[in-house]
Amino acid sequence: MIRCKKCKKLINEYLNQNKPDEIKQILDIHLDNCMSCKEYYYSVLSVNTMLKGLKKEYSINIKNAVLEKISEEQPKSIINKKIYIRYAAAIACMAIAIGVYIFTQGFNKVNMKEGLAAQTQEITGDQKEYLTFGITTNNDSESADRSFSSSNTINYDNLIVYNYVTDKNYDEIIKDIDIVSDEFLIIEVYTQAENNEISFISCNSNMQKLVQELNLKEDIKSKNDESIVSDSVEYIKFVIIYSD
Amino acid sequence: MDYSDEQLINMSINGDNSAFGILIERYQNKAYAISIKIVQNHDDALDCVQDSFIKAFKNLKQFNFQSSFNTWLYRIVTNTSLDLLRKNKRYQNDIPIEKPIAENEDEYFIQIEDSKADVENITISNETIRAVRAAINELSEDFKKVIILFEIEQLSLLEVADILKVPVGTVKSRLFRARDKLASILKEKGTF
Repeated sequence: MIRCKKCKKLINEYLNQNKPDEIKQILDIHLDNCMSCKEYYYSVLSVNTMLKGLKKEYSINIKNAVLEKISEEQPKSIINKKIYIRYAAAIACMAIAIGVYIFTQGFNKVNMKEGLAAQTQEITGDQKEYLTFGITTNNDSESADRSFSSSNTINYDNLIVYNYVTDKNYDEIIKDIDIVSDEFLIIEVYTQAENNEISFISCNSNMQKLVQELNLKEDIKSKNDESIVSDSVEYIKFVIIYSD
Repeated sequence: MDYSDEQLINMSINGDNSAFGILIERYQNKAYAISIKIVQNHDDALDCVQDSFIKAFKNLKQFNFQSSFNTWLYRIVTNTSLDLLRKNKRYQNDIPIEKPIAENEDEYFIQIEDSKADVENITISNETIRAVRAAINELSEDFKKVIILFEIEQLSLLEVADILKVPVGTVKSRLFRARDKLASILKEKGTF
């Protein structure tokens, strides 16, 4: 027969193993002869039975609630990232657009203003000495001794040259050119003092009106080169012989 | 098609939340049963189970499949419920939480089916249920865990050991002393 200490262990093993008959048979031999162990056996068996009686089958449904909470947390970060990326992209596009504007249109406008101001200054000033003007045409092959230049690079491929004379002296004709310079977009002026010659470029096609305004007469000694006149003429060079 | 827990876990990790929904459906009732025994309050138990599933979801990538998913989940449920119990006890000046037994206990639960446990020999009165619950509340956390998981929820010794992360021998030892302690408490209160 087993001892009481061993019996208590066996009682617990009996409960742990869901009351197998083989253990019960061993226990019964001891319990029939030991009131103390019998009392312990019935007390823990009662506890065991009561505890098992607490087991209940539940049916709950928390799936939707849990998945909702999970999805609430999940997309938030993804959406935030997407929104962040969209905002970042929009800001980047705006920055590029502003940059392009500044470095193209904006600067072009500034340059145009500066260019016009410079032109006005050039021909309205009391300047008689100019720097070398770097255009070459058939009539302009000889170097100009006194002229002024523009920093703008202009394509003079279709330049046509007309020759005129005037009764005005240098100061008078240069003053008149100054007056009409805005209207007729006179962009380059140079002089050859030894020949009493003033030349300028106009990109206004209304040549006859300009001739009238300046009261010019055609220089019959020179023959204008009509052969290069075409519809695509953009610039006209006026060569004017002024009086002393 | 019935997916295994492992398949559902991998699907969940890859962003398929509906796969995790299947895991919830599979284990929510048992998880609730464990939690309600610890916190003894329907709302708290629901909160604990929900929190446990969310914790599990967030830590799915850390799950290494060394134990089964359900024991891993029940460990989270047990710890979450005990944390809440400790918190509640602090707020309630260490008064043990004991759900009052209503005339119709079913009102505390969404649905309670008749127990299929081995209780055919003894009819347990509401008074006895209350006394046993009060006695469980007097146990230490270690004893409480083994009693709830093994005796009440009838998990196997291996499962309990897995949930508690202790050897089976330790579970048996705790069960031995916990039964002894419960018997003493109930005797003192004249339950039997």
